[in-house]
Amino acid sequence: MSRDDSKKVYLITGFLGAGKTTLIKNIIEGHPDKKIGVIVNEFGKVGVDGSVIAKDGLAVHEITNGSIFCSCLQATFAQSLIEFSALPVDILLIEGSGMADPSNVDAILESIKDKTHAPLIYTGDICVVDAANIDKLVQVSRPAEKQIKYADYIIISKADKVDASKIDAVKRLIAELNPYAAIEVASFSAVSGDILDKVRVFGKEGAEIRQSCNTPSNRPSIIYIKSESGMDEERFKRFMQSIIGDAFRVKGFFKLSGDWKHIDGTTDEFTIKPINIQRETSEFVIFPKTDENSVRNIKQKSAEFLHSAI
Amino acid sequence: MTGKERIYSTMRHEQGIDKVAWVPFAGIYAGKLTGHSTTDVLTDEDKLYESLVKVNETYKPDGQPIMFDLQIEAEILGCELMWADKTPPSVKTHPLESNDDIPDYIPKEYDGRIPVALNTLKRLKNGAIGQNTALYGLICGPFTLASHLRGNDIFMDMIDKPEYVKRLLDYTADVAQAMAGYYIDAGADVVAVVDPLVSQISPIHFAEFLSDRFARIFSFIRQKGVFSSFFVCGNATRNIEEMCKTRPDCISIDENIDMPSAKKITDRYNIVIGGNIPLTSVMLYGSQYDNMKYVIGLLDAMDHHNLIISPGCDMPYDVPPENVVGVRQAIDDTEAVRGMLKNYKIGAQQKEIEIELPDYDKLERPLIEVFTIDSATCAACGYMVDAVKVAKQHFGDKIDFIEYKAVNRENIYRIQKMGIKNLPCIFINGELKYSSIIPDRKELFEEIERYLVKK
Repeated sequence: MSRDDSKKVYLITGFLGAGKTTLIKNIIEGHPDKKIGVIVNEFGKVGVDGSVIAKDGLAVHEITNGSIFCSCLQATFAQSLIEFSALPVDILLIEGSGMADPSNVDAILESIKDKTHAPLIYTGDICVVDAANIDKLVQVSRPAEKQIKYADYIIISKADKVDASKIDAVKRLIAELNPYAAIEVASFSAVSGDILDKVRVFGKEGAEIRQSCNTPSNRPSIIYIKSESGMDEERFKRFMQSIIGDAFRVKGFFKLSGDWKHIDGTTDEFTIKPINIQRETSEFVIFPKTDENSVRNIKQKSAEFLHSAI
Repeated sequence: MTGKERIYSTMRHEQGIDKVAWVPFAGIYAGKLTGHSTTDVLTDEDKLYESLVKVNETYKPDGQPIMFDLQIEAEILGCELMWADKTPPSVKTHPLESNDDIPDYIPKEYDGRIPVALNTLKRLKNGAIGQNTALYGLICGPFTLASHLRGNDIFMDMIDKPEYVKRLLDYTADVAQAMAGYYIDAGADVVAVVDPLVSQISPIHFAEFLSDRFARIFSFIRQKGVFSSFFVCGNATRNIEEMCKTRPDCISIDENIDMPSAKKITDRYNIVIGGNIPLTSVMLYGSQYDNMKYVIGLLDAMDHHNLIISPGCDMPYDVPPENVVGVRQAIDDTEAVRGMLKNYKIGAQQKEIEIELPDYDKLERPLIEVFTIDSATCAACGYMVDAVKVAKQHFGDKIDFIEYKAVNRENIYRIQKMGIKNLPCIFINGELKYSSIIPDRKELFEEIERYLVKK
């Protein structure tokens, strides 16, 4: 297995009709020199989106019967990723459905690391939102809200169908849900330039890279915690409880009380789940809320936590 | 106490039950044990029956589902299905996608694939399995069924056309109630209302659209004198409280919910909680060790009152059977398995421990080694040892036979030195021949004959 075989993996989320397929077509047309694979999972629209893309002669795998991030279908999704890792593709696009929960993708990729034929590198989460109805959708659909919260790059599509004040309202809504993501307004999901080049996954690389994405410059600093030895689970939980209210998002893999765990959460909840992986180091990233108090509290609690752990 | 009695006692919220109940959700997975495809077990009642009998023999469940397919009702009501090799079928078309009709047809017990499920249930009910095991009839919940009929628009409709959605849900709740009635009449001990989509909406919307409909279904099941379970899938953490208020006897959750935290809520309502072994990371890709460890973790983290251990959802088709065997053993003999796991860990750290393996190239006669968790307590292990004992009786002094139980350190180190990942298993002359699946007499005898000829 060489690094040259590695495939960049992008997740594309958004409700049915938001413009995901159009975006994927644009990406494919914009990269004639790249081989692109697509995993399609459109809840409730079996065979429709998938067949459209298949006509372009690409490798397409459809996953049916609900959402790929529902536990019942994670096995199918994982198997599909493993199969794609053996194919001669450079880029793998995962088209998640409106029901897709993006919070498990990094855990699934991590857990199949030793089963893939070439490295799959998670490179970013693009969420397409329909300017006309996203305000209603986030009220009723939890995944719609979560997809915005987890996105690295958000495209407000169908901007030509609404007026400027509506666009501003949607931008405010998105910024409130996700102060970290870059936002682009587009008609028909026709984004400017090479979107794949603009997307960077949130991570320890931090704010510097984000600056190049046409995003606000006042983004708070990201806090990154690393440990070679792991921690006691109860102590870690107490630390999480002390910071979660001030965090916009947390994510990472940590060895807790001798076992590897996947940690994931947003302001109001977090989960610590067992994961069947082996890593060299425990890593954990906290994205503070944008206010000064939250940043200060998280920094202080993190310092105390690291001090007590040593 | 039989498994059925254990489920009944658990659902009646009794204290001091001998052990925690175990309900493996072997839906399509049942076919894995008999070599039947997903389509076979969801359409052919003989193959379904044969597969469920095999599940019962192999895993000794306290309760088991008949058919885990949320598309049975939708198919009858006009949704086209797409069939797949290793997952249940999915809904391809939605009859209410482009109109605001409310259907009035309630599926009859002879429609579509309902007879496959009901006839299989009756056959099991009338045999030994029905005496000893609680049988679960699974129906599609009203919200998921409404989404099958309407498609994705159902979410926008909840904002734009709330009255339409409520009338549609009244109808799908009528369908669910009729289905529950058919299963109850056929002998189901528990009716599970499976509604994965419930995790996708807020508690406010649950209360507005779903609470009354679910409460009505659970009340109907209760009046019929049968137990009910509310299956959800996905991160429904925020809806657990609202789900409790609809008064099912049990709530079953998957790995997306922190089970000890959810149990604090269900305990307040005196409702049983079932779950939540992760399907992919633990059951499919994990080892038997990982499965035992996860289950012991669950048993240690929660009070055993009002508790059922089960997978998070329908098990993936390719879950290794030994992982499921390991779960049963971790529940049945928790302390022994705890010791075994501890010794595994110590063994892994002490590679220099001297265990002398036979010189397999210089054996005088074929040597059959059976490695088990403990054939005295683990059903699958017992069957495997029995199979070899029959062969030993037949071949007499021509073969040697020994069982190594993972109950002491020396045997555990031997198991590790042999590189064995899963128990029970059979080795002949140091070569792994059977893992978890017990060979039939003919198959095993022929294999031994081959070694005798080689000699």
